[in-house]
Amino acid sequence: MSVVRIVAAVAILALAGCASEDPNSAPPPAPATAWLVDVTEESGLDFVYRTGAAGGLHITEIMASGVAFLDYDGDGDLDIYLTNGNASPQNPTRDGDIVNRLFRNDDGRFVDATEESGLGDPGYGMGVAVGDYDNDGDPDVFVTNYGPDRLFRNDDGRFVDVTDEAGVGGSGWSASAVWCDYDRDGLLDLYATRYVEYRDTKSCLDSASRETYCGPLEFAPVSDHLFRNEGGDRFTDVSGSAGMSAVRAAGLGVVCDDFNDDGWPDFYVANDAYANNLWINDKDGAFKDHGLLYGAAFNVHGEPEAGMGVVAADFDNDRSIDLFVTHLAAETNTYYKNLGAGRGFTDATGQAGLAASSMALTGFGTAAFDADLDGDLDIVIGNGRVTRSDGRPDSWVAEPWSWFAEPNLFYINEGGSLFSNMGAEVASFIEPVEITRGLAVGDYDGDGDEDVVISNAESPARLYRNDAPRGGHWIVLRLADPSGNFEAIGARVTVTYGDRSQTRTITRGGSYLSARPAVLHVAVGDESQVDVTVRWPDGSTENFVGLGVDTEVLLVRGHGGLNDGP
Amino acid sequence: MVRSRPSTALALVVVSVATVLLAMAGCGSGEETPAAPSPPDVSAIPHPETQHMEVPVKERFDQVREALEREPGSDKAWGAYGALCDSHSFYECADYAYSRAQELGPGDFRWFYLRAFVGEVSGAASDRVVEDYRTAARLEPRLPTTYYRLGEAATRAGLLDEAEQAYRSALAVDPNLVVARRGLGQVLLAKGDAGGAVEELQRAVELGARRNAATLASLARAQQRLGDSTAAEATAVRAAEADEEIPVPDPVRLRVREMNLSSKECNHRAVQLIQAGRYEEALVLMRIVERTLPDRPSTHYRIGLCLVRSGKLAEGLPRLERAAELAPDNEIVRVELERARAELSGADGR
Repeated sequence: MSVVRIVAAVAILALAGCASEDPNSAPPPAPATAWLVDVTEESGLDFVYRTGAAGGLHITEIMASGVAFLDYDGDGDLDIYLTNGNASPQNPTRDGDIVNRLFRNDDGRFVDATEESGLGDPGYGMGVAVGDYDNDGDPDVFVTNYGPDRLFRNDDGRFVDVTDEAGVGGSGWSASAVWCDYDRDGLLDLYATRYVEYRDTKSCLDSASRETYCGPLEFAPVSDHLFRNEGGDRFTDVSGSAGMSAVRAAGLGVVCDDFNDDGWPDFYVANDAYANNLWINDKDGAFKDHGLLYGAAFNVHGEPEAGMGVVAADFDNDRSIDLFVTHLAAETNTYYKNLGAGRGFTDATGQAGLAASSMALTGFGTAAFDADLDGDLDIVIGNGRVTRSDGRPDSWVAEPWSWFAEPNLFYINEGGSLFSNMGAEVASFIEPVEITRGLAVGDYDGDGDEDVVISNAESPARLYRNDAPRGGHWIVLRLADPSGNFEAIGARVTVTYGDRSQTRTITRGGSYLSARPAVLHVAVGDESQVDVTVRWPDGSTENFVGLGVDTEVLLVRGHGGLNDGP
Repeated sequence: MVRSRPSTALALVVVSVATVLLAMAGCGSGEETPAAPSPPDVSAIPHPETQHMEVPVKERFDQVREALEREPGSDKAWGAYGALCDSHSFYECADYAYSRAQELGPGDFRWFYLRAFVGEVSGAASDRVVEDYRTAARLEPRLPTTYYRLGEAATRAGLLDEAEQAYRSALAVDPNLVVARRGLGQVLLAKGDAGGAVEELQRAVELGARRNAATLASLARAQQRLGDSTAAEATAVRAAEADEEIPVPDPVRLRVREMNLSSKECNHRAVQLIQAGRYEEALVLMRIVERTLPDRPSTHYRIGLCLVRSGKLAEGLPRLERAAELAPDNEIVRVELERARAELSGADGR
């Protein structure tokens, strides 16, 4: 990355220098080396999350919304789904047009397909989780709401509401959710975080005694839900036997991965103002919260933080899955480095260079992706306050939303757990001062690198095309496990090229209220062939050798070379 | 986002230390102050918008700003304005004002100490934050809290060796500073020295952090890293049940906080003072609250309570009666009212 970046920086400086010599010239164009290009308008993505706010500051209206990249129609390109708010729960005057929206990708142009798809849920939308729970090869959709959640089964591109028969509707206030086969029976189960028991009679003041949104500690905490997939559109709420019911907190973000390298999926929950939970899988249907003992519940000072979004990924390429959690202003976002071999985590935020730049901002959606395809994972973060400010003069939204608007962040991975804050190259992403919540990455234009979509409160959702200069060759990997969960969610994939390797997990989860595709984009440097080892969700491993690069490859279980068991 | 609730006794100690230190700071730190540069432009400061503020807060802003406009060459005037902004979480304004105070009064440790604090929460570069704390510690080496804050900031900046040294310096000044002992244990844990971490964290517990969640959580993690799972699990249980904060004895930040005249903050401080039996001081704060929230039963109740408890029964009784009218179901108000009536009739009988 570094050489490319230096060249880019020189080019930008040269441009800036030329512009300053002639004050009468036209404004300088965007840097030719822009890494992220805002293509919202030309793409046709036309969506604004409506909070439905109608006086008073109710925290329900500042927490959403979610966004998902998914190929709902199976045509090979990524479509976009966004949840919407509609009328405030405190002002139940509904606008029938304000529903969740699905945009179909027609050769890079997004067309509203909400009505024909059946995904126009009119609930007070929060998040979205995508997963093929019925193993029929197409992605199904779970929508979390302030109010009952909804499960939509995908029947060849037309969604059917199966919430009632599935028994996953619930009530109250749900936030992020994730699909994951925690019991390794080949069926995707569902974990749904729940926030607080909200009371709209509560009002709160900031330190200057101005009305502001109440924080989670003003309300009663609640327990998350774990639903076991029994097959045939039926789920059982196993939160009690699994252990989640015993913990009450304010859950906002969740990821599923194998955090202690024992081959079984665990859950990590980012809680707002409470200790984070690391639910380690006991392999018998129960979990124990080892967040504290594994060093992932609190920051380096032993304090709980306001967890919002979370991503699980191997940032330092040591084959162990690390955690990155976004937080409130006056806290850092926190990078929990996995020490490997079941030794737990250490807060390495400061050493990674991720602390100071995040202290003034409130982070929500986040993702790890290799923007410049140089072999390590970079970080994008969507920001926006929940506590009142004076309002930034550079806000892109009007009062009162300007009180909460903030710029986003983009960190480039310099290798070995050291990150740098990116500037001009990602100006289109970090300059809009808005209230960003949901964020997802996915390759909507099929060019091999991942793009970014964000959802903003009371301003347009934005789609960014990734035009970053590339560090070398790449490979896109998709998995198929006909004998297990079809997309092999939870599979651990190690790509070896030359003397290097990268380890990733197949997931559709992470971020905040959002969902990404179950596809891996891996940079492979100068190599023209790579070897891939897959640890399938049931623990067996398989090698796929001599794969070509700069293309997408489907790895079907049983078509590589089977190894001995885990 | 967990807020500290200092215990009353410790708060009293902090206030006493604050008084001493502020007096000391007012006399100068002993360093030569170079000739002041030309006064900075007051209009350039990013003033908070005061339109939505409560009247006492707005008035305080107006007063302090007017003082600054009269003396734009005074580091103390800039520092006071910075502290006022700081106390209401207007960090951009505070950072700007403290920066000007630094320029005008480079020998006063407070401007470096305070700018470091607001700089960190408003996203200033960690280099600047750490350097400000270093300067503050050099200018005022007798205040252990400066080293403690430097330790925290250095930890967040990933400067673990400097953090360790800072905590040790704090403990050299005050070996019983629990937060510094805890910080030392935490930074040793971050450096991979689980044995050293356990030792320091256990000492922090013995010094007064027996029911402090952050200390116990770090201790449990250190014990786990050391391989003592049994002890770790037992400590984790204690951490989950712990509910006490350890106040940071920080007279400088306390003084800043006292500049906040919002009803929320005044109410909060008044309750602490009432619990400490300092009714006259609490009454001053409640009079400020009354300007903004004159019809709240809690306002009448606390004013009445302060008056009655400080011997002004006749003046306090109507306030308690008014509180009882506004909150007829409040048992605490009723009991206090009956007690006051009994005392008043007893006093009349004598």
